[in-house]
Amino acid sequence: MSATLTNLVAGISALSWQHLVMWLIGSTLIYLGVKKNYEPLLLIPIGFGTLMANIPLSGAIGEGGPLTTLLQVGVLTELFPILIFVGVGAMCDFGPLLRNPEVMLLGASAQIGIFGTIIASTLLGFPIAQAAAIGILGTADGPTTIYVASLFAPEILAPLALAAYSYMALTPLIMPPIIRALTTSAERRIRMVYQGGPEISRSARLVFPLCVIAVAGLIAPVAAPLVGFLMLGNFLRECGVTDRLSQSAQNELINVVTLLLGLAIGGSMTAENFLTWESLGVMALGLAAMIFATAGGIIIAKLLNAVRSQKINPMVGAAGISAFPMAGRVVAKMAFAEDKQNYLLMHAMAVNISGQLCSIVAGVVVIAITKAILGS
Amino acid sequence: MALMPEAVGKALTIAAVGLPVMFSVIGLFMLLAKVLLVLFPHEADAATKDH
Repeated sequence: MSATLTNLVAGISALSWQHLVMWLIGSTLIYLGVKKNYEPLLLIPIGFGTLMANIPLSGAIGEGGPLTTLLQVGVLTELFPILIFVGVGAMCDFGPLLRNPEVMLLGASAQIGIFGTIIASTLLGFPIAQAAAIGILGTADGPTTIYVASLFAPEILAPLALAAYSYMALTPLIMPPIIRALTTSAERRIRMVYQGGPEISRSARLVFPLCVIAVAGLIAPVAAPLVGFLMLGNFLRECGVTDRLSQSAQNELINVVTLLLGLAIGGSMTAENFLTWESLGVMALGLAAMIFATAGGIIIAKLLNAVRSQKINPMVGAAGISAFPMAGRVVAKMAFAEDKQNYLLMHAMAVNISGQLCSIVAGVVVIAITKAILGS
Repeated sequence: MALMPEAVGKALTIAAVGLPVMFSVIGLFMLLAKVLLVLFPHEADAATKDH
């Protein structure tokens, strides 16, 4: 009888202040998702996963626990982020890139922050494998961040995933002050004529993803799944004979996997894993990565203006971060606020889409070099 | 240089190698896009669509 009673109160007696802090964090994530609409599809499952994982003696985690199983099967194997890429590829229209390939240069420029963050992370004492994963936060690309974290630093996966999705959701708050600090009002008022460019043939749209797989795969075979699944999704979208698969990838697949991914990440956010100085460092470096990335895009756009006759509005460079479509919208909104006749949306969105591709290229490059350095 | 922690040296290597490689790959994709536009102009597709 007394043993039964002891078992019944075991959970309550094992409760610590750390659990309560994690409940607060989980509840805050749910609140931000519901009330502020900050990445609700991910923050709500992460919040619930966090709550379940931080109930003392929780059956949701540990040997045979569903959240731990999801983490082991879907995240540590890199399966979930890869499957999300099929959906992302199916959502991406690479037409603006093919029509105006120069925008890729701006997309690439916004990835410079990754390398600055890797260096900053090592200066703060993070080992190189963790620093590489932290640097990828500069892509503002959740699935790529999780993919690289699973490869190199699964022990800091939870704070990395949380930082990636939180800062992506906070793009409208993070980007404007950096843009204002690095551009003059006259620069923000630069108008860009949208010329549209040539129509893109179906053949070109079909050959492009195949060539991207070949090129990126040859450069970094280890990252072939990352590019391959993204381009598979894009091919399903463009080929015209797999509409059902394309729609499923854009809706059911990405929704289900996002739910499972969120729960798995939430499940890994136990007090002992998450309430560390390391997590705080990751969150701070994630913010720095976003700042570096935004600044990189703007600075390169300004440098390009020095050699171009047709000026680029430097704000468009900031849209090269992968947070889609928030980054593009923020830039267009800021341009409109400066000059009610300045419509930058098409330019900003083209650069924003190029950022999607460039962030993956940057991820592939970092994976390849880090693997070589680590000798694995 | 001797005082630099090993990880910082490796991070600098990643940046020194990674940046030019990344821009080269993106440059290759830009070139690829231009080549595809020339090889597969929109009119050609429209013509084959009629068959």
